[in-house]
Amino acid sequence: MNPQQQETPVPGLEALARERQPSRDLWAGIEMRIAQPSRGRRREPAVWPYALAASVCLAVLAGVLLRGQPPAPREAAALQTAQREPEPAVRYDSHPYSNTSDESLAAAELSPRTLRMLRSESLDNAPALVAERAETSGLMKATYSAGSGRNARSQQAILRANLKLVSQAEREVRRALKTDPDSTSLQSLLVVAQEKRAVITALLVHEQD
Amino acid sequence: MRPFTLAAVLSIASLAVHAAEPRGFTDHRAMTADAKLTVRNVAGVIEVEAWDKAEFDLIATLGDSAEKIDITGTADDLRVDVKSRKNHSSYGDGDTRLKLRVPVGASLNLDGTSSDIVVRGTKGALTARSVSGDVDLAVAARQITVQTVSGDVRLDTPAARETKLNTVSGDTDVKGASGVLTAESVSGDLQLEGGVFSQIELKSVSGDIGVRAGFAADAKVKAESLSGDVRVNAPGSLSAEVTLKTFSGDKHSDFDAAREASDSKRTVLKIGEGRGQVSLTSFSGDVTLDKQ
Repeated sequence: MNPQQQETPVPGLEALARERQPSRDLWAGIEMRIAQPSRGRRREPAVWPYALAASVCLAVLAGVLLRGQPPAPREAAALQTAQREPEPAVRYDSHPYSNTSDESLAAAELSPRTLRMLRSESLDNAPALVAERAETSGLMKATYSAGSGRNARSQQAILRANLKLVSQAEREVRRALKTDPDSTSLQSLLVVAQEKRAVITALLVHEQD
Repeated sequence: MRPFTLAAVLSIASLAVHAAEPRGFTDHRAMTADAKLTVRNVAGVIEVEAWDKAEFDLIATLGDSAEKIDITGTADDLRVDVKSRKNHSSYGDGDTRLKLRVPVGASLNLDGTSSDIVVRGTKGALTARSVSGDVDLAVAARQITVQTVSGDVRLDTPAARETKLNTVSGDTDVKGASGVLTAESVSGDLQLEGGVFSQIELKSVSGDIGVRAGFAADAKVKAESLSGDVRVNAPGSLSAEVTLKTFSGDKHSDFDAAREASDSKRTVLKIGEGRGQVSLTSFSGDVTLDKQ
């Protein structure tokens, strides 16, 4: 048996009108929207402000990165033969800027890896040598750690590479000395290697202070 | 929102441009003819030129990292110090360029951490130190001391009688010096072309050593390297006892001389009257004595 046939008819349903007109005229509004198709639609987002901003950023970034690289010594030497540059419009006295006299030179820290490497090297008498070098070497007194972070890291890498090189050379000379312990030449070369290792170690350690 | 974003970006950009603008600085004052001048500049260039006036002149362009330039001292002893900013980022142009003119006889003590150092024409004693900057000297000074870590050293110093050079990985190229010279390097090469030396002492770990010079009658020449080659080009009139030593390299001499001793590692030659002493040693590099 069909279930629809079991539903009971709704009273009064058959009496309702089959067609009915809207209570107000809707066509005027529809026609107006058809006549103005762009009105009310979502517009595409404008790209040019972003493009302009990106261009300005790129130009500024390129300018900051590219401007004013220091001339190589030869270039600088050539500069001195050129005519003297026009003096700046403003001539300052010796203290043209604010009176914060203390110089802050960010000391790059010696990385744990470097310290481990330093300890792992055969630094037999390094502490005494380092102290001696730190006092006597003018380069120690120079503001070695005063460079920018990138420069300091670059110098650390150079020093570490040279320290490994010296240590390796020192090991080879020590090995040779075992077979020829009376060789004054080998002893002299060992002194050279030890001195160089001490200097490099002092430079690395100095950077931490 | 869009106009606001655009305005913000343009404002930041203009600030960045403003911050990167170089700042000028000049100074001019009296300076005695034999004054001592100390210059310190962390990054950039220290360029010194001699002139025949008892005056000091400085034209500088300060980089972003520089806060100010301090000039202190007297006409006898002057100090120029580029003070760095606190908390300066490593971006932008941190280089400060100093162009100085000083009396010919002024003695110089120049200290540049990553600054290149260029000096022309001075006659006073000169000390130059830089970590990563190159040092280029063409001066008439008698006493010269240079120290670098990775910076190259280039000297044209015909009047130098006492020269001390020390570098870790920088190459050293000396022309014109004479008298007494000591130079040490770890991995940098040492090249010396000069006049007549009474004493030379050269040491390197892995850098090559090359000498082309004349030697005084009783000169003492010592060149040692652990793994670099050692090559000396001496005049035919050389008079010295020459010792060539290498442990795993080759050794060679152009001179026809009596061999006083020779084995696989060591050769001793008496050249001429044998008044001077020349000792060339390398652990694993080649050792060569050439005749000019």
